[in-house]
Amino acid sequence: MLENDPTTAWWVSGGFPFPRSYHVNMEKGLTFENGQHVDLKESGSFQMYRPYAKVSTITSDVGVHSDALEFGWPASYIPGILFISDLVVPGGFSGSRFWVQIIREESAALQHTNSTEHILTHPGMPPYLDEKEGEFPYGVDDFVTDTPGLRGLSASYVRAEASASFTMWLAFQPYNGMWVTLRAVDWYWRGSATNGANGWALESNPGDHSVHPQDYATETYPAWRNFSSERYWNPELP
Amino acid sequence: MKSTLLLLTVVVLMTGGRGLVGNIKAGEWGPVTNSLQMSLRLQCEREEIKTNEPVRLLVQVRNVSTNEVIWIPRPKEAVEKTGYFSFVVVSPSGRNISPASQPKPYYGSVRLLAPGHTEDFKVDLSRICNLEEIGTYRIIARRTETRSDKRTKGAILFEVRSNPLYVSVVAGK
Repeated sequence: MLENDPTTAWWVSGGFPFPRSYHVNMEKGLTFENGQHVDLKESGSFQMYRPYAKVSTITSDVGVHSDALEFGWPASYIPGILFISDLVVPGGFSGSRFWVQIIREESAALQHTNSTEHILTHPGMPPYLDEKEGEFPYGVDDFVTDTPGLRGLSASYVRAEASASFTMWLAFQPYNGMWVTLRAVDWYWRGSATNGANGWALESNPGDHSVHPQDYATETYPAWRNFSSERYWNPELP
Repeated sequence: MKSTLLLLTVVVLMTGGRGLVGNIKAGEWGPVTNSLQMSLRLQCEREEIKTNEPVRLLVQVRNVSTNEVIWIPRPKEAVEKTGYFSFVVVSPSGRNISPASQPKPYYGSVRLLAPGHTEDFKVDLSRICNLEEIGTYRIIARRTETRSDKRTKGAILFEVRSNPLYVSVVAGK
């Protein structure tokens, strides 16, 4: 018998457009004070729906634009990566979509003209939740973008490099229900730049990034150990 | 190149359809500069804070155009550490106590600001400025933005300023 009341549980998997069927066997043995024993057995099945979802991506290139080493070209309205979701909710159900991004690995370094190398440092271990000042989730629209980069590069530095790998998750929360993950996309970018006689220029391959990465079905939840906004430069930038 | 053009087309089409029903919030705003406007207020609803309290500000940047998507770079570090905004702070006795604002490189992303939408930034001013004097302070936030000139492809620099914010500091208990 359940002793913890109420007990909370939710189902993550399911089917679309037809529900997936799950068979359940329940067995319980009861022993009475007079020594009699009885085995209770019951079986049955239940059906579970799950939204249809697909995430498409379009990527651009790594470059140096103005004072930034970045994946994308925001000054020309081009993000590094664009995620577009296609979501079909089974009839009779309602809910909302949202995005969660996890940073699996991340590194960045700046070399000062005085030869000091400043390293972007996290106090904790990855993975990190990619958040905006503690806000969750990453986005709620039908599409989201990311254009990571090192910005504000000045004449005080001679070299910059950055790289990161991510997983972007598309999640669904049924009305009055628990949220579940539907699709995920793994992607990365990497770049380095030097400050020479003609100013900042890209040193690395502009194509060093995921190219239109494919999504995949998932039923697992994103997990993180720390938050992305806790990062700092070591030593501190002058 | 083909995929880049496709990416540009998709983003402009998707954001252009959003119209003017964005997340505009009430508040005072600074002057419009190149379709951008900035608002400054305290994160808490009160108009006064105590000397032992942090001065937590909310800076909002709004795209006031009707048909232009604007990209706002955004640090993924604490904003006040990066010199992303500069602040003009005048103390109750009339002294200029503005914190030094040396913009520093930062790691971050870029937010897509559709027409009518705002982007919020939370700033802890106490980390860079000491507001221990009792009385009313006058604070203005400033931000230098970069825009690409469509004809010359060169960078255009311009400054966006917030409304003046008056913050009363009272003795803490």
